[in-house]
Amino acid sequence: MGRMSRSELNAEIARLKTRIAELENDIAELDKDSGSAGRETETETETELGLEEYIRYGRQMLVPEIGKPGQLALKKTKVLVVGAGGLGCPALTYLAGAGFGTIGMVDEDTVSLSNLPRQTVYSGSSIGMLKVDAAVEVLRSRNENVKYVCYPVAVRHDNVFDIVRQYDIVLDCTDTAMTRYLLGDATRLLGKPLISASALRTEAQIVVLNVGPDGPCYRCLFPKPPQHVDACSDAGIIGPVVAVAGTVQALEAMKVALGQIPTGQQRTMTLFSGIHGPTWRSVRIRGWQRSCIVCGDRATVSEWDITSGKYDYSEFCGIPDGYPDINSSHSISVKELERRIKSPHVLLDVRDRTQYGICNLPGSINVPLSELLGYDHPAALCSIADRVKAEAVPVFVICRFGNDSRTAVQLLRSSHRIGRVFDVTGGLDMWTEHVDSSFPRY
Amino acid sequence: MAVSLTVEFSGGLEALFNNSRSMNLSLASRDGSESSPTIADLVVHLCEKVMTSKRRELFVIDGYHVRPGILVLINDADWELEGEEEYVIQQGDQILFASTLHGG
Repeated sequence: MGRMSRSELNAEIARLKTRIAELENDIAELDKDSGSAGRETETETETELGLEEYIRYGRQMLVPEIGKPGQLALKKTKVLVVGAGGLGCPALTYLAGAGFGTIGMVDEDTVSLSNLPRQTVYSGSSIGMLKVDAAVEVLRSRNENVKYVCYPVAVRHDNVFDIVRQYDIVLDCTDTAMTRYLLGDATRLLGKPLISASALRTEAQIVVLNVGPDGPCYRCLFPKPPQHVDACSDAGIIGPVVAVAGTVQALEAMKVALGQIPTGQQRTMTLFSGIHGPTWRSVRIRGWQRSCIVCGDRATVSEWDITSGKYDYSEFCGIPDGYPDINSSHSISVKELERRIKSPHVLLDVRDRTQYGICNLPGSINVPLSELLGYDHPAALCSIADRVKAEAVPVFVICRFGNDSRTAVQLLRSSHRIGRVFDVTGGLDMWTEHVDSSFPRY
Repeated sequence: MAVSLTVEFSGGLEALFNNSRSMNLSLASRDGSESSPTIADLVVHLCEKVMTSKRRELFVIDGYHVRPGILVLINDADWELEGEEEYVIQQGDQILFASTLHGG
């Protein structure tokens, strides 16, 4: 067998992981079959409720909008949750509680400490476990009537159709623009309702897509990719805010399973603002777009285009990392910084004020990159420039991971004509790693 | 003719406007004519007179076109339903510029 490239190996691993999940499913099915009296009985259990289920679901069956027919509809529905993080955890909790027949969950990540404030399915003892493994254990203990299927993989162009095809409703609980387009396109092409949500800082957005005769898909709504995207790990997120969005997703999934499909004027996106301004807004959104490249009159992207890799999502989303390369003579390591800050210098920290307030190096000066980029002459920078020129001291620029500092170094050298400016490679993260392990990581 | 309107920013766009999430404006047509201003007029006005950051590329591209990834809502309706940039602003309108979020 010829030597495979890294990306080929990763693709093969992803394919095999999906296959393993499918086979484990088949075994579960076999076990279930051997415990029952065959096919007829199985159909019977899908159209009837056991005595335990009457008790368990009694409270929600009492609600006229659900009733027994609604409960049976939920039991017949297979729902897929893509992403078992801040949105996925509350969504999974309420989907399992409500008694959906099958719940699939996709996530390749393992549980980490920084997940615990908002990903409430996990506990301290889950740290290091695959999220799907940790989640299924908890969900099963809450409701073992549900059939759970775990996919410990990332959704990719070459596995998304195989996974989505087996479900009736899909929840997008992912966190990157590229995955959102991929999942949006695959669900549209397979005709599966998609309940999409996202959250950042104090706000969240929820929208139901691919439903009704004239409902839009993700791409109808957002035909062009965003050119600037903030992630929760950079811009932050508050637990209850993302939990509100994940909980609304579970409710919307129940409504779709019950056949409540929004059309015309009811076709809305929900905007939630946890701290500022009106808390809830329901805004009317456009319908299906004739010009959509996935579902329009002259659609140009097919399932084959996606699975074969002919349609390139990274090219489409093409958000350049945008950080300049810094000449090695203009950068120093954290070890070198440790040595050089013993002589007169300016240590410029370009993180935003909130991050600077979390932790900072003694003697450092904070001028956020947004101010360096956003204003011609930030006041704080002018005094630094004066001092640097008067005393001929070097400027060391630091940030969290050593990305923003590169942009700042380039800007200071070109626009502000400050000569002895150096980037601290790897930023404060490396400082903790190699110099001072007691400096907080966050 | 000048009209009064409310402009709101969310999803991080407020950072470009001195962290202001809501403001009341009085706006006339760009060409100084008798006709009421459009959304296109409003976007130019926001860039030229209101924005405090010089990072205009986070709000508009190709001149004064609203950047992809920003939802424009006119009285709580997608601007696609109202004529997008050509929409003629009415007295008392509420225009929301919301950056779409991707975190989860």
